[in-house]
Amino acid sequence: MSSSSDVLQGTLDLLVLKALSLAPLHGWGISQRIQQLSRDALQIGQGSLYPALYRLERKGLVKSEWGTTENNREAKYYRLSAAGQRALSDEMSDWRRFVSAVDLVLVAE
Amino acid sequence: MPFIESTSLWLRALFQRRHVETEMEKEMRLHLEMEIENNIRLGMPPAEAKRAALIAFGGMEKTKEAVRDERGTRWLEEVAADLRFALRGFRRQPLFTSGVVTLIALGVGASSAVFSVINNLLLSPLPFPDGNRMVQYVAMAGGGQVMVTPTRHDVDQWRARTRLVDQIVIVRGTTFALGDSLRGPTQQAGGSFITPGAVAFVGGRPLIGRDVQPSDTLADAPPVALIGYALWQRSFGGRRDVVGGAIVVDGSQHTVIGVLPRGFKLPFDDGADVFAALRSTGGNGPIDAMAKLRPGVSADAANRELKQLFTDLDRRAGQDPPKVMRAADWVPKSSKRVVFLMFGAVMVVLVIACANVANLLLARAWARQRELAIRSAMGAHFVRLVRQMLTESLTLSIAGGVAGVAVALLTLKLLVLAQPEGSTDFSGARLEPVVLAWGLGVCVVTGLLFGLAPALFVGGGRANESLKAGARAATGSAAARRLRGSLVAAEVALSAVLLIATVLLARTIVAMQHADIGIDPAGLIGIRVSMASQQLTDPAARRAAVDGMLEQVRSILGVRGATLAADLPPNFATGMGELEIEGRTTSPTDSLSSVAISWTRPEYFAITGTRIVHGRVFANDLTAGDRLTSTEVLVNESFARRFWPDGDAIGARVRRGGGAWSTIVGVAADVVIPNSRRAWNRTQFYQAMPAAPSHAMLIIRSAVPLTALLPSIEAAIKRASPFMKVGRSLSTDMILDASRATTRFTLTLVGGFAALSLFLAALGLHAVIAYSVSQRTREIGVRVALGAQNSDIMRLVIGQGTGLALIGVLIGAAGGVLTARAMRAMLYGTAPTDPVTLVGVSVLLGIVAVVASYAPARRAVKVDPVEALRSE
Repeated sequence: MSSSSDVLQGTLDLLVLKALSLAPLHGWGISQRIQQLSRDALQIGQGSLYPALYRLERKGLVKSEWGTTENNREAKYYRLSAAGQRALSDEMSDWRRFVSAVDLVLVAE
Repeated sequence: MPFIESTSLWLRALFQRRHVETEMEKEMRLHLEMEIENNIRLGMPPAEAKRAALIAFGGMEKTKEAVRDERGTRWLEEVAADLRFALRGFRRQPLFTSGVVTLIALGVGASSAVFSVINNLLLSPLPFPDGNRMVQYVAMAGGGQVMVTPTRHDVDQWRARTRLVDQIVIVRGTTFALGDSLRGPTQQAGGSFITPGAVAFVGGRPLIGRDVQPSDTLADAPPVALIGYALWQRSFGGRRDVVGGAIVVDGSQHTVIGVLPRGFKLPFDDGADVFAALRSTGGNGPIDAMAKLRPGVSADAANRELKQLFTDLDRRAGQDPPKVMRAADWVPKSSKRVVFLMFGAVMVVLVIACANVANLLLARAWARQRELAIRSAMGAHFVRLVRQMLTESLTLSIAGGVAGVAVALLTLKLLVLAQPEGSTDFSGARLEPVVLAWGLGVCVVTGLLFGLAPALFVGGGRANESLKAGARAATGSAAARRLRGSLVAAEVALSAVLLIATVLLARTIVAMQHADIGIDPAGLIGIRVSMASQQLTDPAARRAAVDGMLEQVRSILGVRGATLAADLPPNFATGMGELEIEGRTTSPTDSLSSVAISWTRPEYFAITGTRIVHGRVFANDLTAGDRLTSTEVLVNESFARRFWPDGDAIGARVRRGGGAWSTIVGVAADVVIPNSRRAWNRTQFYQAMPAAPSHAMLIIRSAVPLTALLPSIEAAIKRASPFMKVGRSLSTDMILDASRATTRFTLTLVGGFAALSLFLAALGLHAVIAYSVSQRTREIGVRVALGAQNSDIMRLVIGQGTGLALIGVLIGAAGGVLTARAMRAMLYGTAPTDPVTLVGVSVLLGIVAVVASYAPARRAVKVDPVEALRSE
C-alpha cells in the first residue's frame, strides 16, 4: 500500500478526519501526519488529498481558514467540525467492524 | 448547519470563481514548496528535491480538475459555457437562427391558438361550480330532429321520478319591461323567471335579502323578484333599503326580496338584471329546465333513464323522449367538423414547421461534422458534446416558444374576429398554458431529435472517417441526404392535402352561390309584423289593417310585389303534428312528425319565384277571418315524388295531427338551402294564410336594397295602422349568406394554413436543393468539364426539386382524397376526387417546385469547372 490510488476513497476520508482530530493542519501537514502515523506505510498523493479535502468541506465535516505556518507562511488550515467529529467516531467503529470481519474471513482455514 | 454551509460554499465557488481558483493555486504551490523544503532537509540537492516533489505531487492540472469536480459547480459552468458558445454560433448564422425561431413560433403559436378554441368549445365545462355536471333538459320532436320547448308538467314528472340527477330548476329567460308605463318611459332589462334553487344551482346566494322560496311560486303568492347587482347600482344607487321595496316588472308590481352578487348569471342565458319568481300559473312561454347529474353519472345514463321514464308514462305516443344536453352537446355537428378540420390543418402546419426545423438542424449539423470530430479528437467527452447540442436546440426551442406565445395571442384574436356570426361562439377562448406547453413540447422534441443527430454520429465512432475524408466529408452520408429528401417530400405531401381541402371548399362556396335554390333570391326581403295588439283583436279590424298595409307597401317606389307568408324563403315555419296520407300507412322513418310549412297567399309563388311544377296554386281563402280553414295545399316536388312516384300526387289528401283533410292541388319546386342537411326540408307544404293573421312576415320583392327601403316601409305600415308592430327585417341573401358563413370561415382558415404550409414547403424544398447544389459543386464541375450544357445543369437541379415534389404530390393527392372524403359533409357541388382540383393542385406544386429550385439551379450553372476541380 504505497500509492494513493490504492487507498479506498472512504478510507482516505477516514484517514484525513483522523489526522485532523488531533490538531488543525494544512494540506501538506495532513499528508505528513498520515505518513508519519502509518510509519511511512501510507503516502497520500496530492491528486486524491485535495479533492478529498474539498469533498469533506462541502459535506461540512471539515472547515478551512487561512493561517500562518511556523515559518510564517500563509497556508490554508483545515480542522474538524462538530459534524466531522461525529462522522469520525461513526466511521471508526464501522472500520473496526469491517476489519474484524475481514479478519474472521482470513483466519478461517 | 451543514446544508447552509455547503450551499454558501457552492455559491462562493460559483460567483467568486476567480478568488476560489487563486486560493487553490496558492494552497497547492505551498504544498509543493513544503515538500521541496522537506526533501532538502532530508539531504537532497535542490534540483533533485524539486524533481522528487513534483513527481510525488503528480499532475498539477489533473489535481486541480479533480478539485474543481468536487466543488459541484462544474455542470453549471459548463452549461453557461455551452450557452455562450451556442449564442456565438447563432450570431454568426442570423438567417439560420431567425429561420428556426420563426418556424417554431409559427408552429407553436398557430397550434396553441387553435387548441385553445377547441378547448373552449368542446372540453371546457360551464364556468360554474359543478359546471361539468350541469345539463339542460330538452324535449324532442320530429324523430329527434327538432328541439321543442319542454313543458313544466314533464319537468315535474322528471323531478318526481329521476334517480340520476338532482337540483332540477326551471328558468324562463326573457326581457322584462321595467317601470310603470303610465308614469314614465320603461326600460328593457334582461333576466329570467326562476324557480326556487336556481340561484343556488350556480353556487350563488343573495348578497342582501332572501332567495326565492317555494311559497313564492304558489298561484296566489304576491309577485316577488330578485334584482341583479348592476341594476341595483344603476337604478337604486346601491341602497340597502331596496329590499322590501317595489319594482314594476312587465306592468305589475313586484316586491324586491333581495340583491344578487356582482357578476351573477345563469347558464345558457346572459340576462342578469331581474329574476322574478316563476309562479305555478306563470302563463305560457318557453322554459328551460336545468339539472345536475349526480356525481359519477354520465349524460348517457341520464338519457337512458329519461327514455325509460317517459316510455313508462306512455302518454306521448309518436313523440320522442326528451333528453339532456351538456354545454358541449350544444355545439352543432357542423361546428365540430370545422373545429376538427382546423385541428387537422394546424397539425399539418405544425408538422411541416417541425420538418423544416429538422431539415435546418440537420443541414447545419452535417456542416459541423468536422468541428465535432476535431473536438472529439481533442478529448471532448461524448456526453459533453451531446450536452452542447442539447443546449443549442433547447435555446432555439425556448426562443421560438416565447415568440410562439405572441403568435398564439395574435392568432387567437384573429380567429375570434373571423368567427362566423350566429354560429357557435368561442370568443371566450383563452390561451391555455397546458396547450402552449404541448406545442412547445413538440418543437423541443424535434429540436432534440435532430439536434442530437450529429453528436450521435460522432459518438458512433465515425469521427475518424470524417476527419480523413477532409473537406469532402461534408457531403454527408447518403442516408442523411435521403432523410432530408423524404422530409421535404413529406412537407409537399402535407401541403398538397391542405391545398386540396382549400380548393374543394372554395368550389363548394362557388357551387353554393350558383345553386338553384328554387326561388329567385335577388331583392327578396322579409319584415316581421305583429297584429297582436289590443286594438286589433277584432278580425275585421285586423284584416283591414293587413290589407291596408299591403296596399300601402305595394305603392312604394322600388317595391315590385308584396305578400304575406309565415317566413321568408328559403325559411319555412315548422308545422308540428304527425302527417298522414289518406289510404297509406307511413312509418317513423319517413320522418313526417313535423313538416316545413308556409302559410301564405296565392301571389307568393310569383313574387318569390317559386315554380309550380304541376297543378295550380291554392285558392285564396279570405272568408274566415283569423282561422285556418283552407282545404287546399301545395307540396314540394321531393315529397310528391317520394309518395307518388308516378306523378299522381294531385288530388291526394293529407292531414296533420289528426286535423281536417286537405287536398293536394299543386306541386311546387323544392326550395333548398345548399349544403344544409335539415331533414324536414324534404317535406314542404304551402297552405292559404288566414285573411286576418295575428303575426306574419311581410314578403317584398324589391328593386332597391333592404336598408334603403326599410324606412318607407315602416312608415307605410304605420300609415296603414298605428297598432301594428314592426319586427326584425332580413333578406333572402342574408339567410343564404349566413348559411355559407361556416364554409367561408372554414375556407379562410384552411386556406390560410394551406398558404402557410405551401410557403414552408417551398422554403424547405429550396433549402434542400440549395444545400445539395453546394455539396455537388465538384460533380457539377466534372459534368461541365465533360461538356454538359447550361440547360443540362439546370435540368439536373430543377429535376431534383420537381422529383421530390412529384413524390410529395403523389402521396399528398392520395391523402387529399382521403381527407376530402372525411370532410364530405362540408362539401357541396364537388366530389372528393374532383379531377380539376387534383390536377390544379399538382400543377401548382410543380410550379412552386420549379420556382424553389430555380435560384439554386442558376448558382449551379455559374460553377466554374476549373475552380470546382482545383478546390479538391
